[in-house]
Amino acid sequence: MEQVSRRAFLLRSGGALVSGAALGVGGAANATAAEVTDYPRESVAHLASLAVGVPHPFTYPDAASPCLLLRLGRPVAAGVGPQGDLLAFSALCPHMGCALSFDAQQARLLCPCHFSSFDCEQEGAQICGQATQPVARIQLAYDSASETVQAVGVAGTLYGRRGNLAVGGQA
Amino acid sequence: MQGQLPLPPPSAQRSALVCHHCIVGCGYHVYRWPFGSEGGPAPHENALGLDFRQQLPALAGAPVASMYGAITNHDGAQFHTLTLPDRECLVNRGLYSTRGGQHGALLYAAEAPTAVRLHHPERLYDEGRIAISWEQAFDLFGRVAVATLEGGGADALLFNCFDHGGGGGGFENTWGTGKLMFKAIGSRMVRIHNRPAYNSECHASRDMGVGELNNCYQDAQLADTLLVCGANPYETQTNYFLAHWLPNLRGESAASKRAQWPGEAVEPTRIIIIDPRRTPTVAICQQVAGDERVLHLDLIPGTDTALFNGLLTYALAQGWEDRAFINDHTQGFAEMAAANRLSLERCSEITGLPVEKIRRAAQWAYQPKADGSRRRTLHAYEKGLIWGNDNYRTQAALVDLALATGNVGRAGGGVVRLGGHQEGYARPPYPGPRPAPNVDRAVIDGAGRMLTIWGTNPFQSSANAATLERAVRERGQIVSAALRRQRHATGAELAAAVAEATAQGGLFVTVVDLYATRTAQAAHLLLPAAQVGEMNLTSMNGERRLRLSERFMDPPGVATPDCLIAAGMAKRIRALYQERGDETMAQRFAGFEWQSEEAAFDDGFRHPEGIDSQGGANGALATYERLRAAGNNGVQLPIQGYQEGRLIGTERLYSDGHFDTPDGRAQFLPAPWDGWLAEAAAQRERYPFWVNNGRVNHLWQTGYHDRLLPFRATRFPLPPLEVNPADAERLGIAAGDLVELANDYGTMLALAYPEPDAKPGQLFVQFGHFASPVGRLVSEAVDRNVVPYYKGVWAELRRVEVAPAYATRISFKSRRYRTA
Repeated sequence: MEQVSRRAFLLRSGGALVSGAALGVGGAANATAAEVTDYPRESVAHLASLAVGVPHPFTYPDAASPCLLLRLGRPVAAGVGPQGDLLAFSALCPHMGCALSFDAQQARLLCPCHFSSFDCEQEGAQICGQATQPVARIQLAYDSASETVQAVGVAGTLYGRRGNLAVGGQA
Repeated sequence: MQGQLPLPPPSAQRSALVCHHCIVGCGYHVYRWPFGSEGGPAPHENALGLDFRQQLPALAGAPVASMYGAITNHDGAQFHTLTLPDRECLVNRGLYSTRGGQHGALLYAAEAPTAVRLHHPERLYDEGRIAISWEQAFDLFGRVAVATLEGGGADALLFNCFDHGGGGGGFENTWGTGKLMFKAIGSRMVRIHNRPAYNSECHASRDMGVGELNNCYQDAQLADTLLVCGANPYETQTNYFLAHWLPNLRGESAASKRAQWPGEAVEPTRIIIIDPRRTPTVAICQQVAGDERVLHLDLIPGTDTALFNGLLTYALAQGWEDRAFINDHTQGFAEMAAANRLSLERCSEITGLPVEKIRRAAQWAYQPKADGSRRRTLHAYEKGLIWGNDNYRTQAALVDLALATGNVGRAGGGVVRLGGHQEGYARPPYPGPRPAPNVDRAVIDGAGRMLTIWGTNPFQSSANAATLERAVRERGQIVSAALRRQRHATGAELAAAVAEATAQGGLFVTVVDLYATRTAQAAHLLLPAAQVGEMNLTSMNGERRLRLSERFMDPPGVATPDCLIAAGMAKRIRALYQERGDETMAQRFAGFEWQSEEAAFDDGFRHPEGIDSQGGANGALATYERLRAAGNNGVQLPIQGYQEGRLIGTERLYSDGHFDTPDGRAQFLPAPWDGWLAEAAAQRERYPFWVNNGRVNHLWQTGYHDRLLPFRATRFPLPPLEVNPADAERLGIAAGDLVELANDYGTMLALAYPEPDAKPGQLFVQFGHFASPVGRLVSEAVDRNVVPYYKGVWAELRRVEVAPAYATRISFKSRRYRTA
């Protein structure tokens, strides 16, 4: 495994988990997709199938990781698509892994177990609650030729695994 | 390849750790294993027994990154650590809060943000500070102390010191500091970390014979009704609320109630929340239990006494008092009932609550159940009452109500503070009077010569903080100037120069802390303390549950536990007196020969005769070895005995009807409503906005750790200010704008956070923030025991400028949980 110093980790602002001494940072929100090279590229949905305010469930980077694709109907930082309004997040609360629901009115993700809430328009930052990190954001790409949304990476950490890609025999 | 969380191998060392943040004291295990010896993903390959080959389900207890820390001990050995909530702990049952779940990130490491911990004693040198040895530090402190004792007497040594458990406290450290301040020095000019005098926040309850932590967390699952006043437990006692209150509200403890009391009616649980603000706790309760079982009494701020007296008067008129209990176990009922009498109509006028709402609250809390059995009502309160309008009167009125309705010493009942820190008090008796002198006022007025600030940051956390900070800095400058004039000075010469300056109005400031805090900037001598995990530490939680947090790492540099710092001071002072042949004074400073924190525990907690100890008379039965065996469930104080290898504790107090008064009868106290404390009332007349203040759960206390962690500090780089959207619009204030609050005491800055639940004219701002503390607006109003009225702030509000650049990356969405 690569060894990365704490300082380097902070500077990179953590798209992926790192091992050893670098851990314990406690949640860096903003990923740099360029760090990540081994995530699969998967088609998630056709643009035409996405309605504003209605979450589209999918799994990524594997079948055990439920996610939500959101169309907010207004441009948002890190949003993709013709309107820049498409975002996706892990559907598992980064606190203890309960299933998040989408509050379309305020573009929040809400956890029914311990009442944490996350802001879809601030890269999954916790608004209030018990998590110690933002909800993991699924990095997207939009293919205008096919009008499809593709998942290409994960910013942040998925709950309930030792690494974002470390299940299904990849450990 | 993709990075991974390191897993503890089955051989990892495991020790107990109680979260050092809030009073709940959640249990954790610290796993520690050497670099290069990681465990594997199969259940038998890691110490957690979890199967990391597949996605772990919700609530499975999976670790998250903030629980990890990498540590390096003094001998160079490097370890991974994982601080994971304990699923067997009866307090939190495997839950963690946003505070406790980041424990790994708070550990000292040279490569981490915590690298700025204090490593060595430091003293002022020119415009900065230099590192010195403990020997030099104790010598300077000791020589100045001896000169001060001679020139000004014991009361010229002022102290501002923690009195609690958990982080920056614990039985070892309250004892070590207490023995120094009270037995050895004998100063009466000591204040407690968060208030200007040496007092209790629960004098009224104690005067009534009712210790303020009198029930157990299980009672929150057994209550028919939860009545909570001036508290927001979702954010401030999180896992007590999540693991004990909410299961009851959801009906999950109904079977347990039926099993305990066969034949007694079990009705849907209700909660009454008394708070001017619709807190996140109110929102969650309404989400869980619906409006039909949640009553939010949003009274006019400061009128709690009137509300309690209205509820009492109505309950008595209905015959809902517990007459047998009153007759057998109390005194003073008739006088109290006459003094506190208040009609529903008058109560409504004072509190601003509709008569119907007050009546409904009385019914929910005190009307017998359908089968005629007495309702079990748990009464809980915290800073809204403790730091509210006249602590003593208001607390007395609430305890009167709980006693009259037979809810003390009864399962499912209790009248309890919810608490801030854990507790951990063992000290010689305070040598001063009651009411105790106001030490902050003394500092401002130029009294005293030395000020030693221990584990607290008053520039951020005191009332009247602007004036206090100015006085400490200005008086400190007299000493600083004297120190700067020294050339090639010996320790004795430095101390002589300091002593001379303090005789002319100067103040020699010593700060003992983990970090160079805002207050530490005024220090002449800065001493590095150890924190939880770097020392063995005992504390008790809000149900008096005593646990030992075990040491698993070395402190940074030569940092050391507070009790041993106190011992070092005492030993040096003793030697100085011995050098002078003053055996009488030397003897006062004897008894500090501790080589470890355990020795301090044994000296204080385990020898309770003649001291004030929360361990009680049977403290001697608790040893580190026995507490280690008791793990995260510990023992609930007071200890009853030690049988078959187990410490036997006390689940709840007063179940025998015998209270802490000379004759064992609880004492009712008259507590008639008589308005607002004068200094605060003056601000109320002058300024348009009430500035409620309190915690938000992203930031603990003054943010001494949290300010270093991006997840915390980027959420609230300035204190958030909840403001009614219409008020904000009228003043041209938008979300994230920099706003200023101002009144007769000072000013502060905040980030505007428009919140639909904020009432017009009522603001809420985070308390004690590192960038701009609300204490600068808090008046000097105190109750009869010198407990401040932190909540009694009124001010004007204006926009300073548009949102600072970083504000665009902060969420200003409602912090109230509400599904569509």
